[in-house]
Amino acid sequence: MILKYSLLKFLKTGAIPLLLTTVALRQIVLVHTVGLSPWHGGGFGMFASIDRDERRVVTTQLIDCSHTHDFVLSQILTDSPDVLSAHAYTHISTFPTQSQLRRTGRRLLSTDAQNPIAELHSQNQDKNCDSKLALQPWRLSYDGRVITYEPLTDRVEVQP
Amino acid sequence: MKLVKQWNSWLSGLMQPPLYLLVLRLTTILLLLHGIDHWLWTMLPEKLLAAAMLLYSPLVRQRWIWLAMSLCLVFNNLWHWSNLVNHEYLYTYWVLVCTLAIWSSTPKQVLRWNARWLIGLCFLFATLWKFLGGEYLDGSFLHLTFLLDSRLAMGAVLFGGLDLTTLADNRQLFETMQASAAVMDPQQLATTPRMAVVSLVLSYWTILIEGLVAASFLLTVPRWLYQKRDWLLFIFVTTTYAVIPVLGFGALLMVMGLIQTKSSFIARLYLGLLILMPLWMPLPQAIFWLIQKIFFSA
Repeated sequence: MILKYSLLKFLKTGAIPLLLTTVALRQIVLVHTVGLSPWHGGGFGMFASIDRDERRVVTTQLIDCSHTHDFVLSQILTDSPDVLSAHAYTHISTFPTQSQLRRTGRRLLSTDAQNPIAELHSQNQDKNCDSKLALQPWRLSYDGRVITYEPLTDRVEVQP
Repeated sequence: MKLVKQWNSWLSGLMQPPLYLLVLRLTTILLLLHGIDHWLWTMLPEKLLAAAMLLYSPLVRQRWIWLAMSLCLVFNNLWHWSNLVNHEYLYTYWVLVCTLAIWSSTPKQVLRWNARWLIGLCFLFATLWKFLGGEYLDGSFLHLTFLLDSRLAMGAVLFGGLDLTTLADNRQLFETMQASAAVMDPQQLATTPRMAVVSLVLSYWTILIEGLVAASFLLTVPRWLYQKRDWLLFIFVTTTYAVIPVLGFGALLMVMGLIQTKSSFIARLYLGLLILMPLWMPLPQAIFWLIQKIFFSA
């Protein structure tokens, strides 16, 4: 009876504030460990940081036997929407974990995905050259005068 | 004067007991309207439920409807967790509170207690983030936001002495930098020393007012601060959202504020501000753009 009463009292007074606190603390940890954007994830970090997901950039470089080719990922997604949905790209920019980046890289290299990266990779394979794709998320930074980009995490190298 | 009296008596009419039912109805309206500017098909069930509750008012008292609404919002929150912004999380928490309230024998008390804590905690974490990021303490966050965010163009022109052409050039510079993924090429933005100073002052003002709102809602001592909590929230809402209109967040804060106060006068103020929000919130921006259009468009 006492247990039931305590549980009910906790549900009515403490459960939701505790839920908010837990989610917010989780968000703070994720921002500082895996590069989650402070604007998202329920930590009330909106309007507190320049590092907004819409302002992030994920760079993509195809490294083959002799060259490095830069690709603009957002442009590829505009030209070839089948490769990755806008929703998936937003998720990757907002929460760029190593596993998310690897999955995206493999998708971009996949032969069933029509895009310039997959085409160049396929050509390299025909020439017996194994190429790899490097992805890296960057965040915007401002010092009161100049805007610049800083890497959010280490770059991830992917091979199919 | 007569108009004010009529307005007050109309608000008092709306606030006829039980007050918690008004809060549940207002919450339903907000649930129907919020997020329609970034529509997701997974929101459809919650919108249908909200519409049904508004069209057939006895449904607002139905426990199972609120439970279903909670499940819809929790599902959406889990599914889109990385895309949702602060107040969308707050909506989910508030609907969970409404559900607990409707299932309890003391709905008003449950709503009142949780509203105060949710407001306090969200302002506590908002204040904490201002320190964690570090970009608030040197003013750089607001400085860049004034220079790049078109929603703050009014502030950049009025407070920083910048003109709209310079702001458009800044945005173009950044958009080109981002679109070309030119991460190794820093770009200089056009600004003024006044903009930097104003950004710093406004940054500390924001930390102060958010910190005070958090402390006044979470702590019952000092007593004078606790008793002034509603006024601090009014100051925050009117000064912040007149510059950056965020209707969804502001409206929810007013609904939660309304139920947690014990003063009927302050409750009327919350309700009045909420009802007039679609008018007063965009008004400063509208006046600014009108003046720009009339006097500076040539």
